[in-house]
Amino acid sequence: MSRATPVTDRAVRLGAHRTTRWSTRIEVVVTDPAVVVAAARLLDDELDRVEAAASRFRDDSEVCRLRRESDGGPVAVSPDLVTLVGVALQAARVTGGAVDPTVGGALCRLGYDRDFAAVADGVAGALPPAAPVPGWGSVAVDAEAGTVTVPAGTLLDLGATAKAWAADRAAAAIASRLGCGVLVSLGGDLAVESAPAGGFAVGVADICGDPDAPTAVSIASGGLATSGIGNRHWLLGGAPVHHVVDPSTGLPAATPWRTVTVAAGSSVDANTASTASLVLGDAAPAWLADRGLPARLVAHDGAVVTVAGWPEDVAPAGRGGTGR
Amino acid sequence: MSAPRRAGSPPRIDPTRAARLQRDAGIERGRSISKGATFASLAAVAVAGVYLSQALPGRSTSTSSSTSGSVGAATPAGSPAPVSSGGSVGSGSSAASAPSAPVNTPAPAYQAPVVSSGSS
Repeated sequence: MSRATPVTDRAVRLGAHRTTRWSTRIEVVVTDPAVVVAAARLLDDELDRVEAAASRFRDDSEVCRLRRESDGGPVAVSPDLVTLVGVALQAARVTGGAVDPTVGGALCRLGYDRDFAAVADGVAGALPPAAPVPGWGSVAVDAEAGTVTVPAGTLLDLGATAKAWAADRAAAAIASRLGCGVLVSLGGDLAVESAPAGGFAVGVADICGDPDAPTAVSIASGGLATSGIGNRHWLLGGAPVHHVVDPSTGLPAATPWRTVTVAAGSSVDANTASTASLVLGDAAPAWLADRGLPARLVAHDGAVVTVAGWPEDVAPAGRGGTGR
Repeated sequence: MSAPRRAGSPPRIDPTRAARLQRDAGIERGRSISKGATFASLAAVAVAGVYLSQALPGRSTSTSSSTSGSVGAATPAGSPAPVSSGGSVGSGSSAASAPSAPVNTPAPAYQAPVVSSGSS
């Protein structure tokens, strides 16, 4: 599904393109409707590159090849994967390992070893015993040699950072090549470049694309990301599980939060912080505040906690104004 | 009409020719200055280019293969990532110790949202 529509309910005319990929909602909004098709093409190019490098669900992707070929020594990979693994390791470093790219095997043991659309209805099996993942400290990148080193058989999951990285990269490419303001949203991981005066209005909801978002904020630059357990959850042999893995147990994180939304200098940093917050649990508000990251955390009972200057909730005007 | 030339007096130059010579000399001086300025500008650009190519995020100024560097949000599109590791192999100092805070804190939005952010 894909469509390009001009949005005319603002002072600045916007063009928007929406589609679905990786079982997520993909959106690009530009301040010049004439370039929306070109912007969508640039975004597609970025997504193709990320998918070829980082998809856990394609046998021909580089992370799958890395798992097959790794014997514990360096494996030659593309510059894209070198960068993506470097980004993932940086995310692990700044979160003290709460966001760890070596959770791929743990996700497979939970049944999430194929596109989520094929998992959503539940999978057979049983909850595995708790065991820590191999750990980001066992992964190394050598950019000059173009290699990545992982323990033999390790499947990397770059989902926490690769999507956001693609959003940052696509937004930068669209703004610079097409000379317009742009917002790229990949499943709720947003990147903004050259926003119009007042920024882009973004609804904040439990589920990406919800036309009845309870609140909205204006984003003028950088990134915004929401992580949560309300969408990617399924039954594993009857036991409810979700996709945010605690690296210390290899099991779904026991988090007090339903969703966490964070604004940061980039989409990668926003997603890194929002994912880490789910794993950090009760410690998340202080962790976010210490780093000056404005955030909105929603507990399972709906209670909202805001930190670092995140504004009070306001009901969005004209809900559904983008034709969702 | 020019005045007659007297014997023993210094040679007199036709005022038109003198003006032409003066003009040509000025042009020549201007050309020299332009050439010098152009050369200086090119040299400055070259030096700045070499400096910036080593200073940009994602470019290593070190020959070491174990330098951890600026990857992630600050890495510009298409630039190679520096060497980094999880810590057991070739670990080095990190470029950032925390996710970067936004330049602008989100503000309440009173317009219709163009997209929504939620878990996906």
